[in-house]
Amino acid sequence: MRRSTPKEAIPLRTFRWLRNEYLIYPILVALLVAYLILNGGFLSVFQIQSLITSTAPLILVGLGEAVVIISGGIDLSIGYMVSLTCVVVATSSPVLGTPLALAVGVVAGAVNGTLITRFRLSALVTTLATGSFFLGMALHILPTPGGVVPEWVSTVADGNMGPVPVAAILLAAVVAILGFILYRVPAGRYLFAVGDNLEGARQSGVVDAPIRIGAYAVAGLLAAVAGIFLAGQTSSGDPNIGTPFTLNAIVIAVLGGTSLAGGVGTVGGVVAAAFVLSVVSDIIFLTNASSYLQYIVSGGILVVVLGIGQGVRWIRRPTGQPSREKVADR
Amino acid sequence: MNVFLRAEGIQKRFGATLALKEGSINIATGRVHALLGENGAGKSTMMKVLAGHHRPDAGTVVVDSRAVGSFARWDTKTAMRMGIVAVYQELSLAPHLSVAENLFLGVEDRYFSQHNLIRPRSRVSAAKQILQSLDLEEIPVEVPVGDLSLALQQMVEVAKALARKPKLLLLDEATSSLPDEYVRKLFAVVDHLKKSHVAVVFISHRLDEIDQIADEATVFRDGINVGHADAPFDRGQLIKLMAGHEVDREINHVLAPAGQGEPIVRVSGLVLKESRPAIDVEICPGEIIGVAGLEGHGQQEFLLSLFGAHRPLAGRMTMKGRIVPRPTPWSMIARGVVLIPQSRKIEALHLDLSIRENIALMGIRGLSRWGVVNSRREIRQVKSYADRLAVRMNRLDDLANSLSGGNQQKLVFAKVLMTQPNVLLMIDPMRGVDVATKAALFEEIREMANAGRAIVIYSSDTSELVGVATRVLVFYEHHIVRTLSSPNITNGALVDAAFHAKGGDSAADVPLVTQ
Repeated sequence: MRRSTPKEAIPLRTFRWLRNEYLIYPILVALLVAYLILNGGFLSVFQIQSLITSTAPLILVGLGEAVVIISGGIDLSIGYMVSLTCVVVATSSPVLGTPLALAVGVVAGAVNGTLITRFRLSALVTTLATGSFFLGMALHILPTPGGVVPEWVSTVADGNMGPVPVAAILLAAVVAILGFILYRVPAGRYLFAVGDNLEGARQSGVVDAPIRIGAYAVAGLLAAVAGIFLAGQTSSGDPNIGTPFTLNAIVIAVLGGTSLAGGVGTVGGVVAAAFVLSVVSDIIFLTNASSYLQYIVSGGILVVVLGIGQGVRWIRRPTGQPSREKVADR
Repeated sequence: MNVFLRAEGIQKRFGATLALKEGSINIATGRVHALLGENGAGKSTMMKVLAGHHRPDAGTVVVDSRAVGSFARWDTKTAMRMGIVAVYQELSLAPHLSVAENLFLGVEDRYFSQHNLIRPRSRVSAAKQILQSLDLEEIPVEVPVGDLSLALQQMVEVAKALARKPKLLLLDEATSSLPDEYVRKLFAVVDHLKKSHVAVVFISHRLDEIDQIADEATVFRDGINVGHADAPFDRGQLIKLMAGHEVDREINHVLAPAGQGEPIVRVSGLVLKESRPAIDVEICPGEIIGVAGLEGHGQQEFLLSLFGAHRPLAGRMTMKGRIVPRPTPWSMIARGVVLIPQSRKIEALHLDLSIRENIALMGIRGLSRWGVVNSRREIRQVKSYADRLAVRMNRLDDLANSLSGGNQQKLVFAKVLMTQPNVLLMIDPMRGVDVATKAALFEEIREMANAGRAIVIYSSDTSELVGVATRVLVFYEHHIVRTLSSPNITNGALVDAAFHAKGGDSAADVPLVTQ
């Protein structure tokens, strides 16, 4: 008797776009269409502008977190770095505030990276601890929201050049630079290699410490840019503003196709995932539903996307092996 | 002759690759059946289908004259219940569990559990009993498996399979990481199984082993059963079946010229273990230096020290007359010294990255200008090396994961060759590589030697060194006890040298635990 199960014989390529990193784009398009319909088939220039400016901090922290996760680590302090730098901008002199905040972000990230790579501490625990430290610093500097943010920072964060938000230009630059580093510079290759197989990368002559410390420093830098953005948008410093960003950053990175096991991830996917989150919250705002629904929906989307990705693997590999298993050998 | 298992028309597809087109095999009880073929011919897939690891897309399987009606529930547990157990070339042990815990994982109830509770003490004694029956008393049963050497882990894997009381034992390159003394023990076990009417299927690329142990052989090529033969085998015919054309096996018995000129690398006063004599070696251009000895006697540490991946207790290395201050893999690669490590999955490959990224990883610095990778040049070079080594693949952007074991090994070769090294260090480079590819790779190695590069090979299969090496360093207890030169390098001489220092003692005092 000869039997064939057509389900099992479908080649990988058919399902390629269903992997999370591709799946996120059709989801974004679907949500945008829903948003458009709910809004009466019309989006004002202002709405598009505000969608971009409000997504900017999410994109920044999502990219920072993705870089760290690709390197094989995780950063649970990223939201508190956003808070700390936001507070630093609002309490320093107008000229020095922004460069100082950027420096604080890079140093905070480098401290994370150094502790984790040089002293071989667990990334999870280290960043949990440093995160608490950063939050404490932020609260110490500015216990309640306030402070003064220079005018030009607000312009960058919230203003428009003609119809184009300044934030969009800045984001495009960040994405272009990061994409260039990740895909066209040897250090970018090494980042993926270190995250996928640290020992293998070492034996291939990759010096891993600078790459991994660099990943955390990039996360710190992007968190600082996000912190400055938020300070500009709210025209004040807020020590608690970054708290929800840690979880959001991880959700966005994973939603965008970054593998928590390291070595896998794309810039485009992360940007799309950040937009998915903010379109969801806009839709909820538009339908007048409880704003708490936002958490439920974004959690649901994450589970669905991961579930579909897993389902694809499951269909392709019907013996039900765990997805991370390397089916290398025939 | 009793047929235990008959499989016909087995088909299995992975993504875009059809790994098995028309796999068929007849396995008789009490016989050792060799399954032969080149890398990617579908042997391992066939094994995994039979063992329930993969569900076939089409085909029939008859076990014990009962047809497996539907493959919907075909999994390892079902196969095991029918008496089919497999040992793969990759280990499937839980490294942090003890040997005894690993041996009975999932079958505790057959041995020592009462009322579904495990009794640790009887587990230990049951484990000891099994290991004793395999002549492996030297393996400590309460030590975590991860602390054992690779060879002993592989033997534990075999013992684990036997604890499942198989009627059909599938051995997928189970010998490829075993040194000679354990291969002998394994063969003794196989002989014993044969007498108790257990069927054994055996995949190996070492034709000597096939001659020694197999009663019959089936050859696969491109996922199809292309032939069957009974012992004694006609080697030439088997190879022709596997390759689809004649392969000149004798090619690896042409010697490269011995080393000449100034040494590239000079090692002096190298101490690998406390209170062992120091090692002094000169590596000259054009030399192919073999490293031999019993498993775990410092050969690997020696090569890793040359590559800067292991810090010896003492010693100094000079390259072209200049001292290398603190060797690291990074600085050694920059000096033109590269290593093919023993474990391709742990130390050499990035399975979730693409074929292209894997091959380019080591040489990417050389492909960059102003710190930017020249993609077009990268693709051209990667492609030329992949073609030169005949890597069987669909596209360069596929994941390394999608390749068969032997083809993954070719990726490792391509990766190190792309750096155009002056000194090529290799630890068991031919693991899981088929005969034709092996000949091609050795040819590549010899060409490099002719071009004035130096090569150092450690192989646990000493016969690989014969006819290839111009000089062999024999290790014992972390130092060199004998150096054999070109005309005197024979299999017998190597084995003698490896054992000689032991004073004729048995292999019982081989160190059990490597660091």
